[in-house]
Formats: sequence, structure tokens, C-alpha cells
Amino acid sequence: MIGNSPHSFTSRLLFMLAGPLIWFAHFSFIYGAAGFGGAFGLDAAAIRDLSWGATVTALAAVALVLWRTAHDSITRGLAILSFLAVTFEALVLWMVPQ
Amino acid sequence: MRNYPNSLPRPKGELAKLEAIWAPPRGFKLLTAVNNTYIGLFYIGTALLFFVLAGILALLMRLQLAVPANDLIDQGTYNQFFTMHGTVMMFLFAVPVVEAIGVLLLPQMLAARDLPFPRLSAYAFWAYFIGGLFFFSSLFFDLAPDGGWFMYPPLTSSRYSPAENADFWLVGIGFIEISAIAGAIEIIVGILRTRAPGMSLDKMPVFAWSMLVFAGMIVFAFPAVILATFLLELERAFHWPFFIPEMGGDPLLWQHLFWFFGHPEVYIIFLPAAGMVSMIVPTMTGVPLAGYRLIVVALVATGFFSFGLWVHHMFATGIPELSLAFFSAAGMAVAIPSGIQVFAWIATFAKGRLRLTVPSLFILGFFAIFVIGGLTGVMVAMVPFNWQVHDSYFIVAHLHYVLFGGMVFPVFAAIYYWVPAVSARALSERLGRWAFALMFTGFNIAFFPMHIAGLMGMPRRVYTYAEGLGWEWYNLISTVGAFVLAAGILVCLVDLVLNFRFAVSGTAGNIWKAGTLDWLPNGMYGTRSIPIITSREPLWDDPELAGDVQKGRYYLPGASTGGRETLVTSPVDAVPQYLLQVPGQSWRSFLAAVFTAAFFLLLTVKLVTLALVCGVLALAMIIAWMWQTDPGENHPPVSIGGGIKLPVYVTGKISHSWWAVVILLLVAASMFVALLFSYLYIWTVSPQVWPIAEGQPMPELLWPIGSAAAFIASSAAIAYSGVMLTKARVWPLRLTLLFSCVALATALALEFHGQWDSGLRPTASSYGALVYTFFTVEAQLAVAALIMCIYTVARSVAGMLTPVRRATYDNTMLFWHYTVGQGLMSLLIVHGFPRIAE
Repeated sequence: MIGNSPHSFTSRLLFMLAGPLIWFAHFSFIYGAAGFGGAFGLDAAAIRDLSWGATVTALAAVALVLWRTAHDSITRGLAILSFLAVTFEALVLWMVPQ
Repeated sequence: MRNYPNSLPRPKGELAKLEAIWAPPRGFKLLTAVNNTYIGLFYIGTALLFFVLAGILALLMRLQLAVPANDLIDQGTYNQFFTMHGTVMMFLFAVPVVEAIGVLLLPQMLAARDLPFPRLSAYAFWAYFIGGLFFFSSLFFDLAPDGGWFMYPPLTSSRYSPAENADFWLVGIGFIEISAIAGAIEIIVGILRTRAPGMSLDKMPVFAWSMLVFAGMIVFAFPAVILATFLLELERAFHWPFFIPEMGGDPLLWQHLFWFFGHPEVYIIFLPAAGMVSMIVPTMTGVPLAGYRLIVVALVATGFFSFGLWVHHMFATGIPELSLAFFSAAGMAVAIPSGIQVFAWIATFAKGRLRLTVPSLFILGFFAIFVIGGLTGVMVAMVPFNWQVHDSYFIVAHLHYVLFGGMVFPVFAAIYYWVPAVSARALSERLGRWAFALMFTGFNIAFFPMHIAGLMGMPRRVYTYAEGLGWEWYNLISTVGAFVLAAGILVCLVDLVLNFRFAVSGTAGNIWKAGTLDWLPNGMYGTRSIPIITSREPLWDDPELAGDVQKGRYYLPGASTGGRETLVTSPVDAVPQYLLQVPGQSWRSFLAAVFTAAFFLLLTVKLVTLALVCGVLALAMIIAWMWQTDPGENHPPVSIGGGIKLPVYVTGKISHSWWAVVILLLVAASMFVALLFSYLYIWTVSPQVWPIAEGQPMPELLWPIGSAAAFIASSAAIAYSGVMLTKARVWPLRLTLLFSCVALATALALEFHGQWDSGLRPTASSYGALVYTFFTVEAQLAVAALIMCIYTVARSVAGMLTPVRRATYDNTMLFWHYTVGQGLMSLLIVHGFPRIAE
């Protein structure tokens, strides 16, 4: 009576955490761009453009997760919160003057 | 499962045998106990002792500040007091106490007989106990750290803190964090793999969810502070300049690393407390928790979002505006999942009818205080406000509202709530009400005025202040409040002395009429039989369950293998997979902890030779302890009841030990990422010390290429030895394992020689220090891998490694491949990045 394999656990876990993982990737990217971008020769406008690009990508990715999880409320809930958190960061790009 | 509960009579003597197998040691042999009930209680008792000790320091500080220009405590002693107060509360009380409650309650809550690595629990506890006591006793020799609980350099550098006080913090805390990580590994594997059959993740108690998130956060957060303490100690002891600006270092690197751990730490403390609240509220209202899934979502989301907040503590350090705003937004976003939990608890109150018991009172107190702390948290997340109140008493008030309200009140609720599960008597309702009233009133009298004193400009950490600044009354009131708060805690302690009577069977029992498994009748063996779980409140849904479990009518009613054992189930759906033979009491784990603690402490006071002797002894004890594990298929598959036969030994990805190694490697990977961050960070602030800018030659590529080839050869050899093991070819197996060792050592030697030969020295600049840190971190892993490999060879020689009995080899192989992977990454960064950055 061997239950499900660790492989299926890993993939289920990763999918469940997809929303927060996307948030984390997005946050790391925009903070990394803001913190290290200058050292790589990027100007402020380029950093903002990159951050906007990352934000749109992250929101699209979270939306995809939401679309794929009609029945799993925990995955959905995490994705919704992550969508909100990414949007919060987008507000910074929108509201903080250059 | 349809046959359960099985109403057939149980064999005579089955229960007596179970009791004999799990009987605890007596007398001084109690030191060898490994069972979760004993270790959990030892842990809680020790954590409460540190809580009281740190509280006494707080009272002394409040006495000093009660009136202006007071000379009760001199400045140096005051510095030691506030440093020790913060450090002891955060590292020796807050994290250990919740970990301890987890160790005590989780097996009962999941209907496991014990946690999967009981000796690891014992080791973690004794390391914490001995290390903690020695660390605290540094106060009595004027050697206690005095740089504040977050120990910022340059104040804590050897230049400004040349005495050993800071070393006590760096080595002591680094060591205690390792103990916390050991506990976290135990908790993760325990929760994911030892749940009762049928207890799928969506039926798991919220406390278990919160402990899972807590332990996961420890795995990813604590390595950052371990690395930070390692770097600062390297700087202090060997002059590797990570934090010295004139040599290319930056003190802000410490702050980044510390707060990458420090901010999640707040949630690491809060989330288990929230889990306790989520267990107590349904019981006290008599209805299931409203929004179970939302609470789980909130717990997991808080765990993630808390990692995006570390700069929250660095708003005054001159970080660029855009970065500040990102962290400010993240600080506000994290309030959403916290709010979800609060509203779910309120909804549960609305659904049911609250019994105003002592645990309920502490929960209500928690609501009031934590919400105020949360609101001031949102205030300090706003950058301009943060600048105004930075390092003022407003922050002291805020952090105490969050930590004391968010964690200490729930812990006291938990003490009153769960004592009947481990004591023959419940605690007194009357004394409990007094304790709550005094603590709640005292807390608010002590800490609310600090908001105002802070807004009036009173800085934190001042040992005295001048008259006429308008702070006098606020400080006096705070001092009075602190003593009222202490009186409340004292009443609770008196209550414990009067009424707590440790018992395993014959406890006061389920006096609250709770619905979860932690209230099943217990013995040292946990529950008599392991039930099938079909709901989140099984005791409410099946009133006969407790009786049936106690009569042995479910799984594993006896000891199928004749020894200690627990059921291992699949991580998501909790389907029985195998029977884990759990090791029993032993001196080995205790002595290993004693010698490990001695190694670190003797190193702190520079008794290097004696420290090394203790280090070797600790290693010997660990090896002796490990030697008894990996028993192989010493039993044929055994019946656990219900027509189910399970293997007693498995290897590979399904094995609990494989899971533990994977989690350990995640810890190592987190540390490596923190080091990579440090490297990039220092490059951004001091590119001038990188070799290209300095015009210094890089090592010839021959060396890293040779090193990489040796790394790959060692990995290939260890993989090949796996093939030999499968084919039972003993000598080729041993020889390839030994070849792996030689190749790994060669890889390290080539890299070291290349760097040294190029003229680079770790003391020359922050760049040199970082390059040699990559090497040192890799060398630490490699030494561990080499010891594991030689140990594997020794087991082969002893005939304890076969194609079937191979968990030791599998774990070594996994660790080895990770070590090689990290080594190759290090080479790529150290030799590739400077060339790219050119």
C-alpha cells in the first residue's frame, strides 16, 4: 500500500506555491534591478522599464496559475494574494517619481 | 479501512509490552531520554527559564530608567543587559519555546508515536540547553555581548569591541541557530511523513500547518545569520575585512544579512503562536474554525512575504528611494494575510459561543495587543514616519506589542490550554485570571507610554536621560507597568508550581472538550493505536474515537517489530508507506551535544587545543550514534492491522532520512545564496578592490579547470560506486568511494593553490576575503562529505552496507553531488564573474 511518490509531492508542492514563488521571483528581480542595476550600467529609466516588464510578466504568470486552478482553493488563495502583492509593488513604479 | 474500528479483543499482554518498550529512563539516566514528551517538556521548561532570566534583566533596566540621571546601573552593564535581554528573548526563548511546543504536541496531534529522529531532538535540546546557559553566564564575568541584539559592525568589530564579549554572541548564537535548524528538520519530516492515515494536508490541524511554515522559514532564513556571524567572526579573529570600508568592505552588508534573517524571525515567532490561537479558538467557541483554508493560505503567504521585508529595518541607512518604496509596499502587503487570520478568528467567535476561560482571556488579550502592534507596524512601514521614529522608544513599544502581544500571550494561552494534556491537574482558573489581568494591564502600562516617549524623541538604548526633557513620567509609568507585568508572570509560575504534575497516562484529560487528536488518551508511546482520520475535528465527529483508540481498535495497536516504531505515511494524502523503527534512549546524543557545545564555547575563549579535542569527541559520539541507525531489513514486512502489511525498511526518495538530507541541503543552498548576495553586494559598493580594477592577476585558468575536472571526477566516481553497490561488488565499491575522496580533496587543493599562487590573500581586501570564504564554505561541506564517505566505507567493511541496506550510501551520495554542484558554482563565480565584470 505504497502511497504517492515524492515526485508527485514535489510537483504538487511547487504548483501550490506557484503564486508566492512568482511573487518572490518578481520581488527579487525588481529589487535586484534597483539595487544592482546601476552597477551594471543601467540608468534609472531602464531599471523602471525592466521592472515594469517583470511586473507584467509576473502578473500574467499568476493569472495563468489562477486560470489553471479552478478547484484547489489553497493554490488559488495563494495566487490571489500573490497577485495583490505584485500589484502593490507595481504601485511603487507608478507612484514614486523618477 | 472499512473493518475499523476493529471490535475483536486485543491479545493479552500487548499493552504491557508496548509500555515496556517505551518506558522512560529513570534517575540520572533521564539525561538519555529522547522521547518527544520528555524532550518537549525539558525544552519548554528551559525556554521559560530563559524568559524569566531575560525578564529580570528587563526589570533591572526599567529600574534604571525609572527616574532621570539614575546611577543604579552603569553604562557598560546596561549595554550588556539590553543586549542580553534582546538576544535571550529572541534566540533562547521565542524560537525554542515554539519549537518545544511543536516537539511536545505534534506527535500527539498527528497520532504518531514519536518524531522521526528523536535523538536529533535530544541533541538539539541539549546543545541549546548547555550553550544557552553558558552564553547567559557570560553576564556574571562581565563578558556578555554589549553591541545590541543585532550586533551591528563597526561597533562590534575588533577595533571597537576588542574584548571577547562580541565573540560570545557570534559563536554562541551561531551554534544555537544550528540547534534550531536541527529541530526544524525534525519538525518538517515529522509533519509531512508521520501523520495518521487519512490525515491529508487539508485535514491537518492548523498548528501543524503553522509549524510546517515555521520550520520552512527557519531553513531559508537562519542560514543568512549563520553566514553573517561566520563572516564577522572571521573578520574579528583573522582580519578578513568584510565590513571595513577602507578595505572594500561595508558594514551595511551585515545589516542586509542580519535582517534577511531578522524580519522573517518576527513571523517565525508569530506564525506558530497564530497556529496555537487557531487551535484554541474553535475549542473555546465549540465550532470549527471559520475559513480553515484561508488561514492556511494566510500562513503560507505570510511565510513568503516576510522575506521581502528585511530592508524595512534599514530605511535610515541611505538606500535608494525606489528600493525603499518596494520594501515599504511589501511591508503593507504582508498586513493582508495577517488580517485574514484575525478576521477568521473573529468569524469563529461570531459563529460559536465563547467560553471565557483563562486561555480565551489570553487570546482576547493577544487580539487587542497584536492588532495595535500590527497597526504601528504599518505606520513604521511608511518611510517618512519610519525616519522620524527610527531608533526611538516608539520602535521599542512597537516591537514589544508585536512580539509580546503576538507571541507571549498566545504561548501563555497555550500553557493554560495544554497543561491538562500532560499534567494530572489543570492549572487554576482563579490564579490564571489574576495572571492574565496583571499581565494585560501591566503590559499596556509598561509599553503604551513608550510610544509617546519615542515620539517625544527618547532614543532607545540610553542608560539614562537628563531631567527636564518631559520623559520622566512616561518612564516612571513604564517601570510601574513592567513590575505589574512581572507580577502576572509570577502568578502564572506559582500556578505551575502548585498545580502542574507531570503525567503521561492519568492526565487531567480533555477538559475543554476539544476536537483534535492531541486530546486522545496517551502513553509514552503516544496513542495506543493510530486512528484513521476523516475530518479536521475527529473527536467531535466521532465521540467513540478516543475509546476505540485506547482499546487498540485501530492501526498498530502493539509493537509489531518488538521495538519502538511509528507509521510513515505519504506526504499529501497520508497513505501508510512503511514502519519506521525509531531509535530509543542513548547517551550518545547527549554526549555529542555536550562535546559540541564545549567545542564552540572553548573556541570562543580561545582554548583552541581543548576545543579541538572536544570537537573530535563530538564527532566520535555522532558517528557512534549514527552507527546504530540504518538497520536494514531486519524484519520481514509486518502487519499493522486492517490487513495491511508494511515494510520496515525502505531506501531512496521514499525514506525519511532522504527527506532530512534534502532539507539539510536546502539549508546549505540558502547559505550559499546569502554568500553569493554578499559577493555581489560588496562588488557594487567596492568594485575598486576587484582584481581587474586593481590590476592584480587572476589565477591562471588551468587551476579552476583542473579543480572542476576533479570535482566532476569525484561525483562520477561516487555515482559509479552506486552501481558497484547494486551489483554487490564490495572491493570496487570501496575503492571508488576512496577515489571520490581523493578527487574531492584534489579539487579543493587545486583551487586553493591557484588563488594563493596568484598572490591573493584573504586579509588584503574584501574581495580576497570573499574569495577565500567561498573556498572555506566549500571546504566545510567537503570535509563533511569526506567524513560521510569514509563512514560509508567503514560500514561496508563491517558488512553493514549491502544492495538492500543502503540508506547510508544514498544519503552520502546525495550530499556528495550537492557538494560538487556547489563547488562548481563557486568556481564559476569566483573565476568567471571578475572576468565578466571587467
